[in-house]
Amino acid sequence: MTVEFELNGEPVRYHGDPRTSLLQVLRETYWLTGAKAVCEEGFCGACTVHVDGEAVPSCLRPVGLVSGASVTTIEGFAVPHTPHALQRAFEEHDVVQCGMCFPGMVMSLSKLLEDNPAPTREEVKRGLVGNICRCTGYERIVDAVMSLQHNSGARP
Amino acid sequence: MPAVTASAIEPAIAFPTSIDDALSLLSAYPDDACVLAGGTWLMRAGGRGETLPIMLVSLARIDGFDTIVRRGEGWTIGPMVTHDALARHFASTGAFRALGQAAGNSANPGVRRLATLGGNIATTGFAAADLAPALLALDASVTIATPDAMTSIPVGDFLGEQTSRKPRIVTGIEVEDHGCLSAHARLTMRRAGEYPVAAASVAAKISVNRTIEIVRIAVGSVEQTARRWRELEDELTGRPFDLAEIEAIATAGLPAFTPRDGVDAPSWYRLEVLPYLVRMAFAEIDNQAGR
Repeated sequence: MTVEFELNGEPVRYHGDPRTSLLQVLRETYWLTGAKAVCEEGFCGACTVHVDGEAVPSCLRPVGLVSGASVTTIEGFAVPHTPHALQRAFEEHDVVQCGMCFPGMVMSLSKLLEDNPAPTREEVKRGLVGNICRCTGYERIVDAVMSLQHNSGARP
Repeated sequence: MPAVTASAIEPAIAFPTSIDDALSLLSAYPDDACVLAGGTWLMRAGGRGETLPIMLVSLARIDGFDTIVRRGEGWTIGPMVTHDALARHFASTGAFRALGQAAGNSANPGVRRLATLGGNIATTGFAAADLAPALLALDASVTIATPDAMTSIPVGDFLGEQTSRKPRIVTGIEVEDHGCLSAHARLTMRRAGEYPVAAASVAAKISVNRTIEIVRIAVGSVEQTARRWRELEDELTGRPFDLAEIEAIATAGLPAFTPRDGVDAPSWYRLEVLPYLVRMAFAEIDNQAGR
């Protein structure tokens, strides 16, 4: 079966089993390894990508269901050498530890900020519920997100 | 459509655009096809030691399946409505609050954007479905299409017949405003982001003199299938609204359950926390009433 979709702005055609997870197709067919295969049960968030503008775990999406959809991975998220403000904030706050969870963190939190540009700390934490960091650096991640609001009338 | 053997079928996802077409596919490939809703259960088949059916029949392109439509004092909810959409639609306090809370706190944000109402209640073997007890407390009905007929049955009857292999599709879930307030309380081993080890949904009408006039209580994740706790409903109806007494009566009624063991929690633990969850749901209803 052939599945056509848009991947990081480019049209692609996947030939194969449409029941295969989008995560597996991204990593093994298109060599986009930013989305990590960790729990593969939808609970760690390391494989989060944007499908038609929604942050979802790619491990739980059969590739057949993204037929006609627009998929954005961490590789296509920002212009090369011009990181997104969220990525810059992570770097400036020295948040990244082992790095395994960060592509998923960026994909989840970027959508959160798009929907709610001035979240409270609690809202950021709720938005991160599905992204697990085994290095357990959550508070600094939240600090970095909150720093983006300092010039935009952020709530405490 | 002639039936063919599994070896003759290539792995496929079919996208019927009508209920009849979906049922035709399920009838034609009874051993090889199954309904695909959000996919959050099916895509974890490997982890359970199961194999995916060769043909997945997606309901994503059937018109109206992802809508929530007003019907008199209630709503008809399409089976492909996601938990995220439910949580946003039923965010306010009132008759349907339990459904909004159950949807909005289930799993995690990413899963909630994929997992559907129909999938949640139609998935055989998923004991920790949050929406099932909420729908039981709301006294919801489920409309089911089979090759022979379209029928509407109470959600409790639907959950009780989950082993049926007859091709069928959930086409809608109906909830009515019965003049009650409702709430859903759940416990996870971490603070959030998991399935509940136990959940309680309550819909109740408390009179101005603080008597429990009407009450429906449902329990999820404790036994293999969510169900109403009718013994407790009978005990509480007509009693004064007293949270400590509600918890004590619930504790006395625990022998009514045969709890399940699981990797997330042992059976005794599910029972141990249940009375407090019932109390929490009642407290939330009292809070909604502004008392």
